[in-house]
Amino acid sequence: MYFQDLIFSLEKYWTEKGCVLSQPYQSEVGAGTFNPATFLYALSRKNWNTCYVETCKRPKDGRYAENPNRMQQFTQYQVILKPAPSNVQELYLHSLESAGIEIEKHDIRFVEDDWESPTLGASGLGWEVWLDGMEISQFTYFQQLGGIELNVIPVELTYGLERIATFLQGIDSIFDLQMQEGIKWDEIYKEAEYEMCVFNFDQSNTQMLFKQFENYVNEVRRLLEKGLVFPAYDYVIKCSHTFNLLDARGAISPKERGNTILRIRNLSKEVARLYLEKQVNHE
Amino acid sequence: MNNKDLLIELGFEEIPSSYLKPGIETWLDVLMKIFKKNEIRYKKADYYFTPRRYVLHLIGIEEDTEIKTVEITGPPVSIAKTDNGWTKAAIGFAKSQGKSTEDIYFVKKGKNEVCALKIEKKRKGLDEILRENLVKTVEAIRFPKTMIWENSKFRFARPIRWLLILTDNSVIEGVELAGIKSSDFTYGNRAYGNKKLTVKSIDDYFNLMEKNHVMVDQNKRKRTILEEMGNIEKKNNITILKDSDLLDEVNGMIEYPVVLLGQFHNQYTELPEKVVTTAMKQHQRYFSAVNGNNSIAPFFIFVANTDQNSSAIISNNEKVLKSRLEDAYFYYEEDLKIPVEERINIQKEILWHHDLGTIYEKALRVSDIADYLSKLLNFNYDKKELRDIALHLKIDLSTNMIKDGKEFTKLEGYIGSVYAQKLGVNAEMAKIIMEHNLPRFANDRLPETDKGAVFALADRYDTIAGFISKYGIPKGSKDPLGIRRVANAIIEITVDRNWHYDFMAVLMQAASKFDDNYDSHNIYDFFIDRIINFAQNENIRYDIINAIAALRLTDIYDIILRSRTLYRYRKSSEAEFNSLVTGQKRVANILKNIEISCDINPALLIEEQERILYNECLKLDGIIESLLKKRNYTEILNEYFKIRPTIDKFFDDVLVMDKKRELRENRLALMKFLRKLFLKVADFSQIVIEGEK
Repeated sequence: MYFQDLIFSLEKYWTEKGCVLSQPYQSEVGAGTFNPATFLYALSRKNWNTCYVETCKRPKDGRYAENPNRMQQFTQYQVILKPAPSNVQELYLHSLESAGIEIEKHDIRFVEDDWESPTLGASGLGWEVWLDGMEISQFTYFQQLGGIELNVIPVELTYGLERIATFLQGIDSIFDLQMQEGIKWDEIYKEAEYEMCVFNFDQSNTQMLFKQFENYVNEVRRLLEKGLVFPAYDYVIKCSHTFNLLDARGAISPKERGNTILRIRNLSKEVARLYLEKQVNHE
Repeated sequence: MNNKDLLIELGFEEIPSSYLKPGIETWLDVLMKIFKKNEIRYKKADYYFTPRRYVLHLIGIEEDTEIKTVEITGPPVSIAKTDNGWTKAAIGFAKSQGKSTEDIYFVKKGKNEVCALKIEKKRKGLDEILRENLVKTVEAIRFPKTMIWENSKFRFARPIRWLLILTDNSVIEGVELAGIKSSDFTYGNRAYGNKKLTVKSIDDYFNLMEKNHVMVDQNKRKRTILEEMGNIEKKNNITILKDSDLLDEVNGMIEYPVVLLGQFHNQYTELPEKVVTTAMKQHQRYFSAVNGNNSIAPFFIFVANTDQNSSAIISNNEKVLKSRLEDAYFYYEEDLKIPVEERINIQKEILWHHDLGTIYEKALRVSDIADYLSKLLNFNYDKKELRDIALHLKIDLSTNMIKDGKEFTKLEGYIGSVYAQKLGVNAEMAKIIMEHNLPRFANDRLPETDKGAVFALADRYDTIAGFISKYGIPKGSKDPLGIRRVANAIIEITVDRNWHYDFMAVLMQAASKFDDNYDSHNIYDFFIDRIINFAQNENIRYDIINAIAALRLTDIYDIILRSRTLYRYRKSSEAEFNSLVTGQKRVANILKNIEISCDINPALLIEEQERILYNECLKLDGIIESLLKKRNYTEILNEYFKIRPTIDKFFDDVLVMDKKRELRENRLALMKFLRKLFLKVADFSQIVIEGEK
């Protein structure tokens, strides 16, 4: 089982269950939740089932490619099912089976973990899923998106692909992941991982980022005034990533940190509100 | 009469372990109240829970649905019937019981003759009661957090998936709850295929659970875990640290306990012990173990939910722990590369709190407070040494281990202490670094050394003075900075060490660094409030503390000593104590709103009882002064008790408010003298006597 085979099997499993195959977003995101296929569509549509790969960037989590299990970029598999089916736990477990995990031979547990994205105003109740003690997925019944209480509840399943793949390949290190016959993760990504860490922690242009952040915030407001939801949301995503970069540099004091998160959350909320308003007008 | 058993199983997706027990206890409680209301008796009620199910099992329910005739009485005949026939009162009475006035007959009730009716009463059957009330009882369960997941928007901790109601050999179907209907099935353990099982009877239910690897009884699971742990201990010659909170948490995470033993590389036992145990416990919920010599053993113990394929499960868990310990080891090695002096300097760049300066600045303030406090306590500490210690207290705040913001952050103080020793700081200072952080939570241990306690106090006086200067005294239930907790710790440490000092003076010394106008009156009241809270742990009531605080005493431990004495007296001789209080209330009342400027003139004491009282007061004054110096409050109270009959007699024989002004004022002056003698310990008039407003 190569890394890509894990993606193929999840893709096959979920599209056969009726999910639309969405694509990774082209902007830097910290989680699959940021993709409009989740944040906007799971908010507005009564029925929406989708699955996709998301490349996630979390600048603070990098370790200069020294720790084989922590990096600033990793891959999620994201599934949204709305409304949440009553057998969703079974569906999830079967998806693991389809990927080659013999679930009756392992200790699989649903352990309390209520997920929250402070910048998106998104939160829900659910679990982290353990596979023999290793956290492999986040499982969340959304209750709120963009600060708006949901009436029809979507469920979000997020798989940590590198972790599951190391498990399937019986190895300890993501560096050693077989991506395809004869080619490993470190041959493709390690150099980039190191350089991105140098950038995130030491070389990013703090002054420029601060300016950009303010520009992005203003752009969200301007676009919202024009009633352009999708472009405005693009700039919310940029705000969030810029904040993450500044945070990784330690350029934001603890007090400012809370303030900045709140500012971004307020923008997310306004996008969500305008979006729903426009949907109602369409109907 | 019929004897029945009842079993209700509510099935759901995994509910957080800590929610389980309080939730099912409320459920049973609410159901019992409904049974009581419907006059249903039972012999025994048991409850069981796993992460996926709640089970209520009621044994020997007396179901009594036979028709019984009872007599119900109504209005007196005089009101019910006039010459013109039945009145509205009578018609209303009959109607309310579903009868007509023709059925009314008269009976004697006390002196009156009243209307009566014969009513056939049928009690509701169990079936009917459950259909009417079961949903309500589930709704009544409260959880810390709830969610919705289906159209009816039922709120629960996690989605409810099935409901099974069994009475003896029958199934009650069709009770609707959260979009599902009660039916005749349940599920087995998820780890063994999550089989859907049809249930026919209560006996059948328990058999099926056992066969399908579900141990519903939480107590039995816990016993099993402990038993298997015991076997592992014997086999491997180790002692497992059976953290009781962890044990309960783990027990609520499985349906079928299988205790497994994993190993990790010896290299990681070099890590500070608590780093290893925290890495295990915090995320992974593993138990740690020690060797015969009490050093950490390279083992971890965990509870799986299945007995299949154990060796693979163990080795996979070992990999997970290895990666966590690897991260900790990386931090540890990196951290120890930086010498202590550099750590102290780094503190100049790290904010302790955004409004209250850097860690370094805090250390300098703490050092001054420690110096001031130790002088009050007559310790002869070298000022330079105190400064040196203060600069070391928080060296761990800049370490990777603490900065990480995850599981190891809780080890603040401990990490500082361990690192300090590794980096060549002397053992005494290392101990102070650890102790200055105590207590970290309610009922935590307290500093053992004087210096540790001095710094624990100094650090907290600085924190509290800073926070109050910037954000004010916490009001209502809000206290985001935990200011109350800081004050609680100050009181705990002070009392624990039996230290007498002026806490307001220390607080004002600490506050002087923040150059603000302090409302010392309110801060004093805030502390008294915390002392009341502290004293409650010793069952000492608030009014005793308030009576003592009325004297505006600023010695925390002294306030506690006085309150303990008063509490003991109230408890052992309540009647006498109360009469002492009543006497003082009387004296205080007489003196209320009266200005007495004159001194007592012995020549004007014309009554015998007032002369006796005066002489006894003079004697008492001298005795109390010397007892106060020794803080012998027990003896002082004995003296108060001795003079009480004299006071009573005085009030019996002498009228204070005499018509003659000079006699009256002289007696008031005597009252003032008497009151002053009692005010040396507390304002007794403020003590609340039961039954009094």
